[in-house]
Amino acid sequence: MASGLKARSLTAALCWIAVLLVAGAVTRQTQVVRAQSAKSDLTDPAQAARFIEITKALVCQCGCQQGLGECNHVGCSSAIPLRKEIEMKIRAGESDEAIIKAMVDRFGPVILAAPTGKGFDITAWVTPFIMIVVGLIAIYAFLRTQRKPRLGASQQPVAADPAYDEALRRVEGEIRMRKLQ
Amino acid sequence: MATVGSFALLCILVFSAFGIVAALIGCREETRRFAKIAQRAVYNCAALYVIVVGSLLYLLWRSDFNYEYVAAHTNRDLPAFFKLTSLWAGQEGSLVFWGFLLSLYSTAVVVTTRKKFPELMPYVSIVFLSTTFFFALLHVFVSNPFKELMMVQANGSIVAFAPPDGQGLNPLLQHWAMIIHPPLLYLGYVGCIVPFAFALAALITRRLSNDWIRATRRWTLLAWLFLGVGILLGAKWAYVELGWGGYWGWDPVENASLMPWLTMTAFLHSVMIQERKGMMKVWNVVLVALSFFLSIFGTFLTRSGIVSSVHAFAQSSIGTYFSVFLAVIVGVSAYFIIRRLPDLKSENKLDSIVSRESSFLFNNLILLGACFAVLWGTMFPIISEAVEGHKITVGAPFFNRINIPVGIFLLLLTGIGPLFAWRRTSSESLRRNLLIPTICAVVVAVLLSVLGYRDPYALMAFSVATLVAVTVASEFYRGARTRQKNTNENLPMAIFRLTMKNKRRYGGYVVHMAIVFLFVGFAGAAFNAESKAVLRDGEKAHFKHYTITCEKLEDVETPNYYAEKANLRVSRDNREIGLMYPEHRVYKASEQPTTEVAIHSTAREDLYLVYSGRSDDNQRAVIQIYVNPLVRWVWFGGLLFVIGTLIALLPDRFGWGRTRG
Repeated sequence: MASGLKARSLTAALCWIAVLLVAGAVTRQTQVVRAQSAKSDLTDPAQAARFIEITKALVCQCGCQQGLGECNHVGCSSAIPLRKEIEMKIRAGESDEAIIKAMVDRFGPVILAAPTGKGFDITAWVTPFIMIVVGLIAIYAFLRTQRKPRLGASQQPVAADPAYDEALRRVEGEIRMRKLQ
Repeated sequence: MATVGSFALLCILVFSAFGIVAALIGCREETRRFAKIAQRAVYNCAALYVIVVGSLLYLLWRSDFNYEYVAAHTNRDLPAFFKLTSLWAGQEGSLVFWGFLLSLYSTAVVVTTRKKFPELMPYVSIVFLSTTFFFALLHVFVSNPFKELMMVQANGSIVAFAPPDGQGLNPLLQHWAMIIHPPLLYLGYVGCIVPFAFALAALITRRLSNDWIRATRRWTLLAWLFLGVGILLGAKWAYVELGWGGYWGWDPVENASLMPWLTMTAFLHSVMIQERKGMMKVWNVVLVALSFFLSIFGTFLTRSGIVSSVHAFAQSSIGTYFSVFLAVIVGVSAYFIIRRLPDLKSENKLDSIVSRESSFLFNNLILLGACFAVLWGTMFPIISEAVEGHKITVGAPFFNRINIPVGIFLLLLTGIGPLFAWRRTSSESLRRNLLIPTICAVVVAVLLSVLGYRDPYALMAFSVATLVAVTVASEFYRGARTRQKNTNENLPMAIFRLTMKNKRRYGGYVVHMAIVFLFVGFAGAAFNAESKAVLRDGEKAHFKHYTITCEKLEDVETPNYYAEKANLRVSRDNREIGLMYPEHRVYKASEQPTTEVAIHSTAREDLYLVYSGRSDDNQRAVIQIYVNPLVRWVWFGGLLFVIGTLIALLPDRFGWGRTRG
């Protein structure tokens, strides 16, 4: 694209984006979905949203390895009573932290769906990122070895090789011939 | 029949050992005599496995409950089809099936490549036969499919015993996706052995030109395809059959299959660097060995249940066998890689950091980073229990928190990478090619956010997906336009011919497009919504723009199960879309309850209805309602993935090869 045309297209695009951003800020449209939950009888959207968040953070103890909010084993002896209990506590006004802490106190840390950020558990979170950083360093080190030597150094005199010189002459001759044709 | 099968198993053990010895001798001698014996051992093991599988299928078909496997996984009223597919329902049959597929793969590879690479064949045969030997050890000593049920009588004598009926097949396995998911997945797992066998053979014989890569390219791609399809089918089954509303739970067994797929994806990319520039030779061999290791490890994780508790390991000796085999794989690979390091030196250097080669380095980093995160998260409960003494769980929140940003970055690389030219890219050309895709991506992000879809990761995913889609589309468009300058084809024809002339490249672009659809589908989960309705005949429930009317609640009985069924009439925006029938079933043989989900799927969203039981007064049905946006995009992405890989797999002579234009 000619650079004038490119500059104009870019400017036009940026203007449109600016218009849309302003429109977005002005209309302040919010999500219209009422939070509800399939596994509780909570009707207040805020409470239902809390229920979903809390059950996402906990794991069903029936052996299915699924989240407390997900286990759909019919008649599950763990998920159904626990979900009822969480629902009651939400209605009673307990905070999310208190509810989760009560669960951990009763079942141990195994009921949490993910390692905490404390103590040894933090290695769970940190190690993958450390490995990626290690990989980045390895790539950087590798790329450094790929740096070509300076121009002067690469122009080493080639050892005199009559066969090579002959072949080179022939090829150069052919190129000249083709150019003339 | 079982005696025939057991005898065949013993023969496999002996023949594979014999074949290994013959191959080892065949490596040293000039004539091909011993190498041919090893090849014949491969064929014989395949024939023997046919006998083994045939016997086991016969026992299953005839419901011979004398045998523990048959009694544990089938019952008389099981539909005949499922009696056969219960071959892979349990550990013993599953391992036999694995060994069977391995023997078929080995035979196919040996037959098709023995003339082209005669020097490599003895070593390739050793790898195949050693793995066959390992599985035969399992069949004979640890996990015998022909084990008979025994009973201790009152007078102390032990006698064979056959219960009147079996325990039946797990009802969750009685579904079409579950029928083809294990075979395809196993074909993928088993297929990882082929590039490994050739790589090891190349290392040992020091034939380290790119021959071994060319030999195995299609086998690798095929294994990768099977593994990917197997994983997606598993997700589809989980969604449709398990009924918890999702398709991926970061369960250890799911993770086990994802890991080798990630390393194989890395290999498929970095191998291109080796083909073009003779670089990354050590890394590619490492990737291939790692993929094979992970496939055996994945089989082990799936079949042994080690991760749910560290104590399961000690109870079953199958863990010991697998650990030893895995250690042998690591040891042998490491030994030969280190010994051959001088032969694996790079032939070239990178021309520039701003090149496709270096973008593949980052591609590998991200894919392996994701693989490590999955492995680490899957194994962490065991590590934590060993260190801290108490059990913890590493579930979906962990994997999602780490893999979502990693995945989005990978998606970004998918779009930008192909814009890098081989060797060196000018920043001019990069800027030019990125301009329109970036603008489109930003526009999409702004539009969606204006419309109210403000989840940050989803927005990132949608906008990066747009960038990738536009770059892929423009690759096809530009290539086709260039063709059209020299031919008078219309655009679709030009695109078609372009693809057929560069199957590997454009097949790959189709797969990239598939990844776009997959990620868009994944991002839809950020907007999942759910609700609950308790309905009796005639009552209605409203959720989002759906109206669900309960027409009839009924009880149903079939030979296989009892069910409570809800007949629900569903309409959207007051326009009727039909009847849906979620059920709650209890299977007679196993007395296991399951739910049959009812799904109405459109491109925009899935309406997912679960019958979760009756209310306390038994008059009403409790229906869980889920609205899951964009799930269809995942399945469509899966279809594109298959199409793209099949294009890349097509032989060069198919289509228009390199003859004209």
